[in-house]
Amino acid sequence: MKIVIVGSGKIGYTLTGFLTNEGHDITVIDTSAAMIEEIANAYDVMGVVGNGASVSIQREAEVSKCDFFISCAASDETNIMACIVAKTMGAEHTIARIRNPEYYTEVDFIRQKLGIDMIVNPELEAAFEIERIIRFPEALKVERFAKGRVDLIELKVRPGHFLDGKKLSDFRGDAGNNILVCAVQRGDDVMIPDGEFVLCAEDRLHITAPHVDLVALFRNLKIQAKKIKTVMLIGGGKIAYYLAKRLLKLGMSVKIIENDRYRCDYLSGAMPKASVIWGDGTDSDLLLEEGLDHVDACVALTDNDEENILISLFASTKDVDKTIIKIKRISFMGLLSKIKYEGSMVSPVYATAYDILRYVRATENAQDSSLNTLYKIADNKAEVIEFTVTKDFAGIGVALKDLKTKSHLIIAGIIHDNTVIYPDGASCMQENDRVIIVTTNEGTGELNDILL
Amino acid sequence: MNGRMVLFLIGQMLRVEGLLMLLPLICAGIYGDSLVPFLLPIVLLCGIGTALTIRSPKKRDFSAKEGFVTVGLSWILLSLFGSIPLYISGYGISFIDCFFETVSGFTTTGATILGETVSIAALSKSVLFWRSFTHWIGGMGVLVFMLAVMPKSEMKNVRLLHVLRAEATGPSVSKISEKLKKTARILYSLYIALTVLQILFLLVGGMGLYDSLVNSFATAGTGGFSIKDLSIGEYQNPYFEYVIAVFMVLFSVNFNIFYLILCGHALKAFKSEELRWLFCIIAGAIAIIMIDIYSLYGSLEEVFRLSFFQVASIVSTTGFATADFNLWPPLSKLILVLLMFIGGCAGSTAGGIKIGRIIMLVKNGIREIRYILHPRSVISVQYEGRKADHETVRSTTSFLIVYILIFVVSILVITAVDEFDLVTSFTSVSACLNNVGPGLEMVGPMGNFAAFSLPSKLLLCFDMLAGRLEIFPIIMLISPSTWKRS
Repeated sequence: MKIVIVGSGKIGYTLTGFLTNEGHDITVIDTSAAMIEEIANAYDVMGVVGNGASVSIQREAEVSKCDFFISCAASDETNIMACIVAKTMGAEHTIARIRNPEYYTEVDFIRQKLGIDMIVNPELEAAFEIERIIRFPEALKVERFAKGRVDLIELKVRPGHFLDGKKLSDFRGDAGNNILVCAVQRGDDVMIPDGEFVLCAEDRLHITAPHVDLVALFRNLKIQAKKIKTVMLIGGGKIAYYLAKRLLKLGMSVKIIENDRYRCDYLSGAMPKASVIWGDGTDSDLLLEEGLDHVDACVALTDNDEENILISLFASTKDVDKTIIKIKRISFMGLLSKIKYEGSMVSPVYATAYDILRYVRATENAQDSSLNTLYKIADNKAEVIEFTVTKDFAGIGVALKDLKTKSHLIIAGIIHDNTVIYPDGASCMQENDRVIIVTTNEGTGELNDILL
Repeated sequence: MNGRMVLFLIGQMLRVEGLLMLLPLICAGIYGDSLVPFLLPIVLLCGIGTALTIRSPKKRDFSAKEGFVTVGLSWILLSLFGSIPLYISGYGISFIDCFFETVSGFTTTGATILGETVSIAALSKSVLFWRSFTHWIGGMGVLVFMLAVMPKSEMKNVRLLHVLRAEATGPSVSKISEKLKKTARILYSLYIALTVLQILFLLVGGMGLYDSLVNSFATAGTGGFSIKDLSIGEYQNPYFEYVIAVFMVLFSVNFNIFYLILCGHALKAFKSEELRWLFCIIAGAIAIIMIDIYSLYGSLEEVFRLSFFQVASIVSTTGFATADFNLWPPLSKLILVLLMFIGGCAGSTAGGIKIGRIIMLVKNGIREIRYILHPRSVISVQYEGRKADHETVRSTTSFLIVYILIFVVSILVITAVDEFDLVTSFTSVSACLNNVGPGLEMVGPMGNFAAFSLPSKLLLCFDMLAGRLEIFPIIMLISPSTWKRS
């Protein structure tokens, strides 16, 4: 597919990496010649130097022939303008990054009247992700599928815990019937387990389950699933704004520490229920004074990765149950898991780039196949794929225990008439159902590929 | 340095050369020449190439340094293997002469050592075919060809743009398509199409198929090896001269311009500043030479034809001749020598400094003068209708300085070693460094390079490679810091 990307900042750069890896033809537009030079050196793409919203530059980049036009320049106005121009020029799909909360409330107008097909907001994406983590504090990560109906949760087995050494077939009986372990990450390996699989300490489990069962699971597993009631946010940027609004709605008590006086004014004006503190979030005395050692969760959202890491390390020494940090530089994420950092990491850049990638994949596959979305989990080693069951699928109506599927593959969920079934051996797939497959095999392009 | 990756690419390149050598092999089969001179190198190339590429390297990091080293080494190996057919064909030519001839072929120089001891006519048709075909391979570049045919999976995650950048000509490289592979394919398709067009034109005029092929190869690469002792002049056919002259000009045009025209942007293509300069330079040079040599020849048509052909031949750095311009008046000779340095457009198969660089240098010079007059003025160098990047202007200036340094040192060494007259020494170096071929006096269009001593020939080989690869890849190879572990 022909894809034009405006802006080679962090998101543009990450996205270019993702998309070239899938073999798309990419043209990148940026005003800085140096950035274009850098990205053209790093990836097999064509670069155009100039303003991505200008008609002549878009002509040069042959936007009229492109399938996707993705605008992630620094300013929202440029992105909106660029997408409108691109759509008029004949771009098939347009995607804009819009981060200003004021525009974000008008998202429906922008989408419908201005013809922008997808709007991404990195800060909002990050806020959603953090909110999910706060709601399930024991999970390292929560991913959402099937338009938010199915959660995929990452858990870590602690040494000495009763899950350590447990056989999976026993686990389901003990913990609840609807819980499904889809993938297990052990060291650098990722496995799709069967009933005979034995868990051991330090395994990272990726499980799906209905919401109620998850709560029950945490209780049954006797993980101290203390519900998070108080949250401290350090750094009062856009993520903090979106996050605080949502957490307050859930009835949590939120404290925001922000360096900038005017920003504090704005935040307290926008969210009178939140307690806004004007001060330096890297000042340990201030943090203690404001009761860091009594909060349930601490979210470090400053602009500086190093500061966030330091704050969260400090918070974990003060026995804060859950620490979450925002990371800008993705290469750090791998490093942190190596030093046994226990908190969760959220990268707005990564989240957004992945969101766009999913959209591109989904649209690409929409025409000729039933594949809806594709997502990578467990350090990109396993794929979660969502399919719609079409009538030419060979396994319609066959009970799963009789269905001959390939190895390294599990059916994690079936959505039938808007209800989610967490399948067991007796479940079966019907036409128009949506199914979620987790697999470590590559190249699953359509549903029939799962069969032997 | 990621040596494995460099060797892997060189292996790929060697296999490509082996593949390309099948053509002269077929030619040898047709004309009943001995097959051994080609079979042996083909086996060697494919054997070594396969050994180097059997396992694709795990570490895929590839920086500008690796790119330049790959290109520099590739071209030396290319020439070494390429000189085997001439060497083992049994004409009694020394290996250094064979190497010189092959380097001259691949770098599209066209400087020959053939003439006195072994005449061109003595060589077999298949060897002559290979000799001209090296021009065609070297013109667009063997690594660009490799990029066009290399499997996609091998190109994933490798920063191969550095290879294209090191091998293609001109101050900056622009891709004409999103994908490197597609760009390489488009370039080669245009190249092949233009070559075939020229072959057809020559065939229509009544030139034999074999002659059409070898002359078109030599024109396409802007090389200039001729299979006749008197070059193109020996055909005594004005039609051939016009066809070849026009194609020499075409091959000194940036290939991106042909692509633009093909895509329907002809207007944009003709707005190209570099193209306009090329035409102005050609027209101006023809006019001056016509006036200068008018008294030597009879008709106006002949004067126009001779000067057009010679100007086209030198500005495109091909080096074909229809007249012994060594006998022309000094002004004409000087104009031709100056044209050698200018060369064709960036992104063409021509050699020389390239018109694009000359334009930028001239404009930068003018800017400097204006700075002196208005010390506080802010002036940008405009090139092709937009502000030239500061980096490009800087690298162009440093290119010129290194270029002049190499030129001066080469003349010094050659004059000291061989003690020929000044014009011979000067023009032999400028003919080699600019990939033109013939110079003046001893190395004039009717002379050759056989008389030079061994060190001079090696130095001229170095100059030819430096000229074709635009200096830096070859300089990188001999710079100690490239090989240091860091």
